[in-house]
Amino acid sequence: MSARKVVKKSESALYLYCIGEALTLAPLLKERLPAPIEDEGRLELLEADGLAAVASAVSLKDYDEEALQAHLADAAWMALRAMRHERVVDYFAKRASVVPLRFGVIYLDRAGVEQMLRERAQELRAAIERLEGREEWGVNIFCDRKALMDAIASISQRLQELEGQAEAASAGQAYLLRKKMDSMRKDEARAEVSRTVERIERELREGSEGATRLRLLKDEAGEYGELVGKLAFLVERRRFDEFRSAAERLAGDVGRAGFRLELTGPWPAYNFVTSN
Amino acid sequence: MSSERTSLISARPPGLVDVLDRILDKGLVIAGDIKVSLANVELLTLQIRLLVCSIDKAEQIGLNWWRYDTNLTTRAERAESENAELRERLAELERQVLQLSSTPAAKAGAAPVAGKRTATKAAGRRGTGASKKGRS
Repeated sequence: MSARKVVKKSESALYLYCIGEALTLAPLLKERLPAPIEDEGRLELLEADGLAAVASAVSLKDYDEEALQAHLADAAWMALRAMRHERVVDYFAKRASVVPLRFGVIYLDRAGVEQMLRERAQELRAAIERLEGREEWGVNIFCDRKALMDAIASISQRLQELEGQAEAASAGQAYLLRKKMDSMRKDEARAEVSRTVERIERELREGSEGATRLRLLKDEAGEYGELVGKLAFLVERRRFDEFRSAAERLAGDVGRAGFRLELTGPWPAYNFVTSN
Repeated sequence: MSSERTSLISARPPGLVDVLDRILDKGLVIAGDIKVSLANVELLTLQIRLLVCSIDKAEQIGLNWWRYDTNLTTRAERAESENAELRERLAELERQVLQLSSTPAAKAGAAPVAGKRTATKAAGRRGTGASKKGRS
């Protein structure tokens, strides 16, 4: 396997976007295509064993290990490449069953890509088949803390009791009681957030072929409040209306407690191809 | 289609942060010839999230072509002049982004953009779903 020679002098490399069946992908290259990750390249198919990888040439000036590592720290550089990568994968995923690749799969020559396709043919074929007619939908869950706190105060009996006691108590006692209520409200809020996220995941999973949670970054917020959950579902295209209706129903239910759902997609199935 | 009805859930085209969540963190990992260390995805995403506010600003002034535009990718005829125009606008956006990123936006957090395209529109285009249950 290591017999493959790496052409050191070569100045360009091949950046890969996604993999599908060669016969399905070939006609798609005749259509109007989205821009490749770098303007100098052009989208092409590299085929082996009936499989094809969508690729485009990139300069090693920007894509060898060192240069790429530097670029990865450059938010503006990355932002544009990220969108371009996604647009290319998205173009193919909307028209064929493809396995979307993570950013940064780069080969030095065609032979390397072809060898990879042959070596992983079985795994790739299984994924292509599994993803046929399916796409990923993202569900972001936002929480308006104030609305949640109000909702908690109005439903928690224990809190209402304490409130009553505080009103009747002396100033000192009332202060302590209110402190206690504060921490109770926070605990309840935390519990309510995780119950809600779990419920949404569970109920939407039923109308899907798979569900997963995405990692939450620190302090993610949006116009609907704090982001408390990022979920992804693999949904059959023909069952999407059903999935959406379920999401609408849930949104109505949890909306009263200050939660808001946001639907993004359809996505290539990035969250449903991880091999490890 | 439910695209016009008022909805309890908001649907929008994928934004930059959603894209990064996926292409840096998910997607099939193939080693390739170039080693790419995406260990610090979180930091990068945070940095880019700061940028997003700026990019949203850029969008407000009309540089919004890079958002999802299904027309752009489905039209069959090839319009070279439009391509050139896009490249020009990309260069402009790049300048804009660089400029904006040198003065970091104080407010973090990518405000979800109220997209006009609703979720149902793009779904169900192909009804060829081979129904294979229970595998994921």
